[in-house]
Amino acid sequence: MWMFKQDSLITALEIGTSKVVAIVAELNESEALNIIGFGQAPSQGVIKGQIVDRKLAYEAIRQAVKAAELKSDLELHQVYLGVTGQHITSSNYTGSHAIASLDRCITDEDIDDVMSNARRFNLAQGQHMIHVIRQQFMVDGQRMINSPVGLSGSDLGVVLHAVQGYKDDLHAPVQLLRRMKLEAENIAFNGLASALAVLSPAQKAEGALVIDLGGGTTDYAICSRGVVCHSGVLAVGGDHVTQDLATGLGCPFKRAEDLKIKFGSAIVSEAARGQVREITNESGIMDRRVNVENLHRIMAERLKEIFAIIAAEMDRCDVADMAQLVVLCGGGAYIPEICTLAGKVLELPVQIGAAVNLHGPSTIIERPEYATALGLLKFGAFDMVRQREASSKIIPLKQRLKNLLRIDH
Amino acid sequence: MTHSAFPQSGDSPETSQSDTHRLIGIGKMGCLVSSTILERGEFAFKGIALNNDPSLFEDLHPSTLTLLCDGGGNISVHGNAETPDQQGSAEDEAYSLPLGKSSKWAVIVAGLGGEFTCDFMGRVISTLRQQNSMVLVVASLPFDMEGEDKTAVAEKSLNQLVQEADAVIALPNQSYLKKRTQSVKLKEAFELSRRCLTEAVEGVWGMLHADGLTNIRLSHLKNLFQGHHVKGLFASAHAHGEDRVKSALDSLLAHPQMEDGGALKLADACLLQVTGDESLTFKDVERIKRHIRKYLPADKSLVVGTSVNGEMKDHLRVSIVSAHFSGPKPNTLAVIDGNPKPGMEVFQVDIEKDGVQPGIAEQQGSLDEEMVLSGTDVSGALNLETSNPMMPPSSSKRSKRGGKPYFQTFLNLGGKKNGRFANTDPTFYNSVNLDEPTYQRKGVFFN
Repeated sequence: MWMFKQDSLITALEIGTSKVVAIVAELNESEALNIIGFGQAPSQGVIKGQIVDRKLAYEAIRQAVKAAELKSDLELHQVYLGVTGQHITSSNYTGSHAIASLDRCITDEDIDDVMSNARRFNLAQGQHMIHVIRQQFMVDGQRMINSPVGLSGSDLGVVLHAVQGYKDDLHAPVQLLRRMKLEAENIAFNGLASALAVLSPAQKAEGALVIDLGGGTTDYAICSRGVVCHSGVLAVGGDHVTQDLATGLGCPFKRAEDLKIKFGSAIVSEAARGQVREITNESGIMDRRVNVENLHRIMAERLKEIFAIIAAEMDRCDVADMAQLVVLCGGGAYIPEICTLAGKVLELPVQIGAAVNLHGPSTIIERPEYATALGLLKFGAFDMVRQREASSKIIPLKQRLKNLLRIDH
Repeated sequence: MTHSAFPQSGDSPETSQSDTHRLIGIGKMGCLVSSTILERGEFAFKGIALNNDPSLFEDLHPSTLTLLCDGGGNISVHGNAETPDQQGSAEDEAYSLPLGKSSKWAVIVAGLGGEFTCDFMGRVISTLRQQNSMVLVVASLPFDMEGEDKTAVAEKSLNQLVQEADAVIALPNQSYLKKRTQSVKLKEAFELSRRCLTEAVEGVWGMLHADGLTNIRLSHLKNLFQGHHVKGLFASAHAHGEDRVKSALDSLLAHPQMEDGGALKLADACLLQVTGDESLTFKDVERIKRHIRKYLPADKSLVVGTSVNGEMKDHLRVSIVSAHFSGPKPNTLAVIDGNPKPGMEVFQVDIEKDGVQPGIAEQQGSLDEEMVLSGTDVSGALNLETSNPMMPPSSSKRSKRGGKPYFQTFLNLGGKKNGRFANTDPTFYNSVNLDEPTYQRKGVFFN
């Protein structure tokens, strides 16, 4: 039974390294997103955010989508797909345009022209542009965030933040979806989706760094003055922490994962010093002793390195001063003392992120591991409103949603 | 000494010469390698062998022009080999050697380290210069176990070569042992070195000589090895069949010089040649390029050459040449107790505080009481020091700290480092493979 208008339904699909999540939501008349379906399955055939075994990945996606369909009582045909992996890179581009009119008054056409000029960057062979995000305008060298339409000047400039990835890697999940009669309505970079989910407008304005500690990758995005000014992917995640434990403690990966969840910590606490845990095998028989201090140290080294690399990247891109807050999400946000460690390395206040401006079960919207999928819903909402606006010119709604992240694509 | 004009970008070995190029082997290693190449007959070389032991000449390819050097430094044509045509050479100069008819190109192959090679290499290049030949040298550097004297002689020869030849590719023999245990048989090691040197000469010549769509030129080689980057690597692999790109890449990375791709982390630049039959696609080349790119530091250049050879019939060959920093390796791990060399990365370890502080050893012998961490391979806790060619062999497993036995525990260093990421594209950041456990790379100690 159809309970919802088809043109108001949005499905987000995140094919993660540790789990596949599908969330169905309805964008109602009052611009609110209501979650109406949810499906999740353990991920298989995905390493470092990229599909390495199509057959296994297909099955995991099928299970998650099926669960979401059952829950929402809907047959899903289109999804907003999250993408990540080390093939994804980001960079900033600038464009400029001379104001030709006699009165030097900037018009909408000038904005279109300068955007068009800035978009003329050369992509490497095989690359595909995922997002182009407007950061700021410059009128005769004077920076401004808001539209300069109506102002006077002789030279109009714009700075764009672009996220690109390799076509082959981006097509892999899309092709899998097609096999199960699902169409990717649009794709979005997971790091931006997470930022979209967990940051309030105030946090975006003041400046915040969102770090999504996933199983295979760590995605991050920095927002300042209401726009995304930098983003990136580090193909290192929770699996690396587990692999380090497996190597260091000499145990299988699965068991190292259990140890990480049960006894893990991001810092080596005084309480852990000298502490030894006796652990049991699958049969319930105690078969080995694990030094908790060593376990914590292995984890701390890896996590510290991840944060240090992000800090170094922020310095390199000259955006370190833009963030006033760090918001952690993804499954890694559950690691005890992770905020303490992140705060120490990044020298900023840290908090665990939860989705804002969404309606649905708290077991979904308050969980940091679903931030990406929830962000994809918001991205889908924006996309949907754009399409609606294109046909019915609903200007006020467009303006409000544009303020989410000012994404042009 | 007057050097010949360096070829411009449009030049290739094929364009402006009509005579056969010369392949000159100097010393035992060089003679044997050049003879092997002549026997294979893939390239039309005029072979010349220069040695002080005439018995070696009997084993060489019959077309080889053999030149014997006596104890007094005189060189004469040996045996029944054809009399060299001295046309174009400066016979009136006593310094010149009877190297035969001039050719546009001369490839010298030698194992550096021997006094004989060191003494005569300069004279050979000098004569070639007088004949206006362009000189490419492919040489091997001695194993560590051959002693410091040989290493010093090799370094001296190498410095001389860099000054005089158009391009020099020096391949350290020691790198062949990095993936193998030190128990490798001597004969096997030298044979491997010889095989790799042969492969390098053929590969580099093939790279330059290929009738390419996008060519790699001598200028690329020269730029690659200019400055202080005198040591390099050459590796080549070929594959055929359905997934020949993957197979070729796997074989390439498994090459002894490549250290599973880790050797490229230290590369300052890299030349990549892809050769295939008519079915070679743009995507194949792009895939290979992308894969190799991942191992190279982001700011280092990769020059790609491609050629199509209809005779390859479904085969694909990938060859790579790179120049390495001659300085010590950064961000690496091995444990010894001994004196660090200047510039080597040192971690001062305070076991009681469990802290590890990086620093730089400024003076040899100044850090006797600290443990030194360096080297690349962490293949096993018991032979860590031997895996590091830059470090002197450890004479004792005991720490000098208070004379107490040195006790250190690494957790399971013998395990496979990359685990579940072994078959994925590695994650590099600033030339560090992040797939390897952080604690191992940082040399963190455990109780």
